[in-house]
Amino acid sequence: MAAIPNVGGRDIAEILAPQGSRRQPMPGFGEEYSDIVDYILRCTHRIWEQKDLGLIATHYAPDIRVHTMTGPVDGVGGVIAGTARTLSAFPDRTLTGEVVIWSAQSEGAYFSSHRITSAATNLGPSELGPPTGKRISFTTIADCLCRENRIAEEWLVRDYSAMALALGYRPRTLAATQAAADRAAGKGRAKWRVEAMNRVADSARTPFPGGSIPDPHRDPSAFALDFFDRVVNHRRLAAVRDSYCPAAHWTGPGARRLFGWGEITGWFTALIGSFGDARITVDSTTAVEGPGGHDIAVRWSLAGTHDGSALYGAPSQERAYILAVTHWRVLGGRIAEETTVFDEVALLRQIEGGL
Amino acid sequence: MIQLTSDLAELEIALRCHLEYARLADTHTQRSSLEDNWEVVKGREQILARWVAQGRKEAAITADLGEMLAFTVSEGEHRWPGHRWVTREHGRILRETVIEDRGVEREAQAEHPPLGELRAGKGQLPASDTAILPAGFPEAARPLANRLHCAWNGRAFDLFSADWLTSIVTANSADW
Repeated sequence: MAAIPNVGGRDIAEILAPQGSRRQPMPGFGEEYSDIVDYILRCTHRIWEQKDLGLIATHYAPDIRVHTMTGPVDGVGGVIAGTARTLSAFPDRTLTGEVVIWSAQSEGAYFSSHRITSAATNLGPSELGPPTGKRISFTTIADCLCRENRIAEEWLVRDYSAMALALGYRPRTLAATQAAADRAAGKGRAKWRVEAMNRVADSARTPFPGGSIPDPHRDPSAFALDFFDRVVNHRRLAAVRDSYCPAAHWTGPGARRLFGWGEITGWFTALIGSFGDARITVDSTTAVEGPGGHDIAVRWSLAGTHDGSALYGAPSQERAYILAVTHWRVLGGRIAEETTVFDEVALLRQIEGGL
Repeated sequence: MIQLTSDLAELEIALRCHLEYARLADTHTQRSSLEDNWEVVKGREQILARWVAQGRKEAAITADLGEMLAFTVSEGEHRWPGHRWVTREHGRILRETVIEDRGVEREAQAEHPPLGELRAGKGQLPASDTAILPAGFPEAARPLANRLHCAWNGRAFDLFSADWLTSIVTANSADW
């Protein structure tokens, strides 16, 4: 099988030029797509940048479920409507693909984790508020299960708190307003969220992790499972120093930027300091080889009680749920770069008694 | 002023002094990022917008090490120094780090409280004689890194002697 080129090393004109014949088996996919990376990048360009929203009908399954931190969206109609709303708010949005981390699944299907940095001007009303005219940048990761030219299931995470801050809003104020509306509508805790939190809270307990952490190049999945279990479930935060490069760069929700062992350890400390009974499950891992190392995608869920004030204000004692995707760039056996994305506005909305 | 010898030095002058912004389409990848004292700007289009917003300035290159420049920028009576480091991908600039001391206040778009500590896991142990460095750190630069580690992390400020500073600048510019 021919090598599948990723985003790295190619300029956008080269990426979007016709790629020629198939590089991998893709039963049922459009002839214009030569491989799964091409499918993800090209259909994103066609739908979002060329504004061909109608293609969503041929690229998403009719019964698709899109998982987000504000709840699942069911059906292709919801995807089209959501896309139109976002483009109305940010009509000049450009989507720069940073990496596509993918794996082949059974029966010609593929899984992809696509990280996008978008630049856009807020010219229309958005779910965050009235138009501000501000030009902003934000990161999204879309985990997609792709089969026969259609995305059959998607997990979508976006850095909404970074968007809110860049637009001049306070995430907490937005979340409080949304939560008040939830309560006024008589909505209790959403059933999907209760189920998601229970799944994480009831996940199987693992033995106390001793020994060394698996080699991320040899077994990326084992590395990811061990790392999150060790650091979050067993609070062995010293594993950060064994897993990250001492000069690692970390980017997280709210466009936070951290550097090195001490600050990254500080993030995990603060996360557990906010949710004292936090438990985490790793729900998906995927990896691709890149120049000099590996890119690893990890989707994870965290549930815990907001009983500490480290990150999100005075303890509310609300149970909270986080759906997140982490992308690691691993070099020389250590994480050299990380991007973690989740929706902090939705998290604060839970803390404020909504969702 | 020194003779422009690198592509990067020539680009710096072309962008700052001659507004040749169209060159970015060939010199940068579409997913280039630029990090400065305050923020990370992602995407060639965003970097372009930033250059346009800066407008024409006078500039001179004061050191040219190929992938790293030192320069001075002038605007009227105001003059400030800067550095630019780049990492390339297939010849195009993928990442830039720019440090400019303009002497003017700027506000970050988002601010978060600091997290964590700088000396992770060291507790009360003193700084060692050797810096903890990432894999692939250049061997030739290790003595300098260790010296800076001792001076800053070990608070051995006496190491910052004028002789030493002069020696590392001359020694390392020759080695690199």
